[in-house]
Amino acid sequence: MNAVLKIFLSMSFSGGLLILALLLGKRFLKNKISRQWQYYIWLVVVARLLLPFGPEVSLMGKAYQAVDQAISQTAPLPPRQQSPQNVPEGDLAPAVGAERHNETVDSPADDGTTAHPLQDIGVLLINHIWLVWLVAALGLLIRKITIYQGFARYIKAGLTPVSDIELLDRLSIVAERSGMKKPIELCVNPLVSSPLLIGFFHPCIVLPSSDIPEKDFRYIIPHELTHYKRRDMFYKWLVQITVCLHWFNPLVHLMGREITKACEFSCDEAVLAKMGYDNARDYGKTLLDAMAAVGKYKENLGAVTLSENKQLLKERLGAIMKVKKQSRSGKIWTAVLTLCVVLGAAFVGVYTVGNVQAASLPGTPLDTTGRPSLSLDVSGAAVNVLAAADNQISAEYNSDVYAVRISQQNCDWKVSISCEASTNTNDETIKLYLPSVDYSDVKLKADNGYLTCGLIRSGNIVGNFNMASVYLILPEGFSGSVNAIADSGYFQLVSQDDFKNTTTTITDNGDWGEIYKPKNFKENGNTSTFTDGTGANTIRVTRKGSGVMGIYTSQSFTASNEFPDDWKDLWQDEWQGKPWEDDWWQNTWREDDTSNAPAASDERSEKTNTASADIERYYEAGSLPLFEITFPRLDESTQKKWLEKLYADGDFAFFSVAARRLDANSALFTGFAEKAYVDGKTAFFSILTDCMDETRLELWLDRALEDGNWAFQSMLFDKVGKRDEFDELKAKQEKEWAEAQMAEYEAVGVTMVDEKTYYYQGQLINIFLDIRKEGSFYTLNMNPKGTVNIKITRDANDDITGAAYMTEAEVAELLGDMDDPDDTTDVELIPVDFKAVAAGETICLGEYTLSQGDEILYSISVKTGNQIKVFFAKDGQEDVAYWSVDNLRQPGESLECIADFIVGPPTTKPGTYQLYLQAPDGALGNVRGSISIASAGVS
Amino acid sequence: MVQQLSDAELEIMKIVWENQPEVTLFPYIMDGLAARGRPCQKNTLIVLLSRLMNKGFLSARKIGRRNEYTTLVSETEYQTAQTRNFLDKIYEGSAKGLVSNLILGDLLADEEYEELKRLLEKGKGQQ
Repeated sequence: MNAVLKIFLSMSFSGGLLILALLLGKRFLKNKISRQWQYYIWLVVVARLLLPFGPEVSLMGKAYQAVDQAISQTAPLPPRQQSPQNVPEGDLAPAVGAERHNETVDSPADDGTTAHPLQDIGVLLINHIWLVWLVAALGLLIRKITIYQGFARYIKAGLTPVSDIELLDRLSIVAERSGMKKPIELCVNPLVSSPLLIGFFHPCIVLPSSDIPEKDFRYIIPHELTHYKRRDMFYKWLVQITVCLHWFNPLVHLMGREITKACEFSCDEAVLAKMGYDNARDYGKTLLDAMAAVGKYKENLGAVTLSENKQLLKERLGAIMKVKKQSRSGKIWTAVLTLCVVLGAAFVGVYTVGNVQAASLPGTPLDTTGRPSLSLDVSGAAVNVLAAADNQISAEYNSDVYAVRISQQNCDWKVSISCEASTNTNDETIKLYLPSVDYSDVKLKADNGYLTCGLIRSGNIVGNFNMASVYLILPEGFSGSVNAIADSGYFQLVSQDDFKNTTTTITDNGDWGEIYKPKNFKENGNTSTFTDGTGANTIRVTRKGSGVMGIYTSQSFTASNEFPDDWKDLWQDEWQGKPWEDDWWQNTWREDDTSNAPAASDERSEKTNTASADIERYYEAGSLPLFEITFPRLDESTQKKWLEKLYADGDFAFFSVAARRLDANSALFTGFAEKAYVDGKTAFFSILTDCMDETRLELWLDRALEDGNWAFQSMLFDKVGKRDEFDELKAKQEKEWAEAQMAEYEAVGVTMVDEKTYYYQGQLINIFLDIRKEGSFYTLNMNPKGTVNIKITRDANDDITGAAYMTEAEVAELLGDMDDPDDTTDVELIPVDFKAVAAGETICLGEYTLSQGDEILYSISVKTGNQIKVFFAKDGQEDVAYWSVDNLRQPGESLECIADFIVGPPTTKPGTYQLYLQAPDGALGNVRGSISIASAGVS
Repeated sequence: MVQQLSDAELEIMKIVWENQPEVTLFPYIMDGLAARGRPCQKNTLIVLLSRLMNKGFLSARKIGRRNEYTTLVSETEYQTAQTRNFLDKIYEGSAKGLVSNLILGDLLADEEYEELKRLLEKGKGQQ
């Protein structure tokens, strides 16, 4: 919307220039040029003020481009973008450095934008200033309309139609003579001070009284009719609208007043031209008479009155006396001036948004009509842009962590991706599928994230990257423009056709970092340029802050998704080898972390010191890629310190990028694998296994098998690709567990005959309850034929201590948990308790006969995993599900499956069904709860 | 509520009423006014006709370039309304006052009087 305001400001400004020119011209040529011309020439200005069209190259376009650039250069940077070199050097430096450091420690989660609330409000205001403008404009317009309505009502209230045929006839004769086609109403209202014309479509002349001298009538009526015939009402309102919209421009207000004057002048002129100039004196007298009546209402708005005010009247009288036929020279003047004004209006032009770039540079601008515009905003996420199969934008992502908003309306496509979790422990890449079409304007924004995009083959790309790792590939035959600013981070641009037909400009406004570019780019100061072929496609990239930029041709860039080799060389040799000019960081670092500072005399350790300070900064800024690349440069003890810290903090994302950079044979690697294994931290262990080779994995698997470490076995079997073996093992294990549990029950006197039949000291058990301390069931079985209610007691370690009869209160409590206590005898309870359900696994929970009116209740909670499906199927056909619940984990909530159904028509039929539990997406851990089937019984 | 008509408007309405049940055309009214010695300009008549339409006395149907006018209020309706208005204004709604004034003021001819009497008795007999 600010773009609209920008256009409007430019229109206001160029219109203002025209107004000034016209006012100036009027001073000299007032009496030489026809009043009609003076009146209608304002239409050109009004058009300039209202119509946002202009030629490609215009004054405004150029002016605004300059203004835009100035703004983008002076825009206040968020604090963390401030470079170390902006800080005064010398003795003060360490103190300032420490202060900055404290600031970041105080608010580690702070991304730096909320540091200055005042500045924020300012930004907010600037971003929404169009709203201020619009509200004011609407308010003014509404006020004008209500004033006019009030006036019209006031006039109409005391209106009596003139029934004097004689008077009406006189009007008719005059109207006919002036070529009026529409009948004119004639009314009398004693409240008006002078004759006036009201009504847009049904014109009505209102006289102060019907008793009006014939001579006056002769002048008044033609005057009002002329107003109507020239549609002055519409002109007036058009001007009013313009004034409202440009309320902030005093020149436009001035123009409004000028037009009101010019309107009367030209009307007088037209009337006299028709009646003959000899009548000028009489006409003037009529005006004076009209003036004699005292105005009773502010009538000058909206309606066209005969006389407006005294000052104007004086001028008008003067003008009337001077009215004469236009001379020949006047006519020439008129023609020349018209041409000047129209050309002037066209030339001052208007700022055209989005095309400034194209307009100011050689070559033809891209024809973007009918193409969709795209806005992609990535914040704290890793996004890989891929080609969509159809014309729809879609994304694959983990909804626990990321929020992806897609809006694809007509030609205005928007995607916004952000990280919802407070700490992102998930470094999965989001796959974003975009239609592979020609785009008009493409806005790419990345803040603290990864973005890989090689899809846009045409369009005007505007990129704003901040602390991000961006990898932009321009496909072969790319047409359009790129205008990107990379602020502190990585930006890589690859042109697959080696910058064919482009004008490429690289500007280095950064303070700390490097730009890598092809050798044939011409360097001049802090800019490098390259032009090829037509040079029609413009590429402009600017580096800011402390980051690294790489501009590549197809040959210089070979690796597909990794940083290219020459890039690495650059990093390791040139960049590291450069003497560090500013020791500010080292000072800060020493002050903060003296315990770890090795002797600074050693050049190598000095490098490490730098790296250590850097990595701290990257960590604070949450920049994974920079962290990753700097990590190998740390010495081992610092690496260890970092890994320990990340491990302790549970920071998976940083831990994983750090681990990736470790040598699999290093002591650190083995040490942390051991540590994670012992602590039972599968997630960290899993990160480390990603870097392990087969033999090492096998070794770990053997160990896990030996230890009976179930969770690690499961993971390692997956890693070595032996899922089947694991399943087999798991079945065996589960059987073993069941047997073990049976044995345990046996020890306290409970005998299990089959899954549904338990005996306690020879008595058939009605309710058999074995409950964990935390409240979930080990076993809950109900057998309607049973006679005793037994519960297993367990100690604090969940070890069985004995079996006991349940008290009535306990039974009541247990049954009270169920939906309908009356039906207890007919409730079939199917306990659900799985330590782990493998990804894609479907578990059959038995076969059940369901009759009409039976109530099915699912109540299952899952500790880990993303999706659970519970359903019934007939005849083992799992693909046709009945009473199916398929639940996804909602962000911030636990995964649950709670639902109830009634068996019966219209959707379901009674019969025999198999009950299934499924993990459709990823493995599930600790699946607990129950499924109950309450029989409707015979009622 | 039937609105008041100005003299000129009533003149036009009379012409249209007389012409019923035929539809009335613009030139017919022009001629009618001229025949009654009250000629007027074309534009004036247009204005007056549009006022009559606004007041709900006439409706116009455009057929090609001509307007066909038909009445929405009959002459009797108008007369009744006007009389009631008159009664309310002058006799405070008392018809007796009006009739007695007519008789006392010798405004009724004898035949008219007899006829009214007959009308009165006939009306009573019907009740």
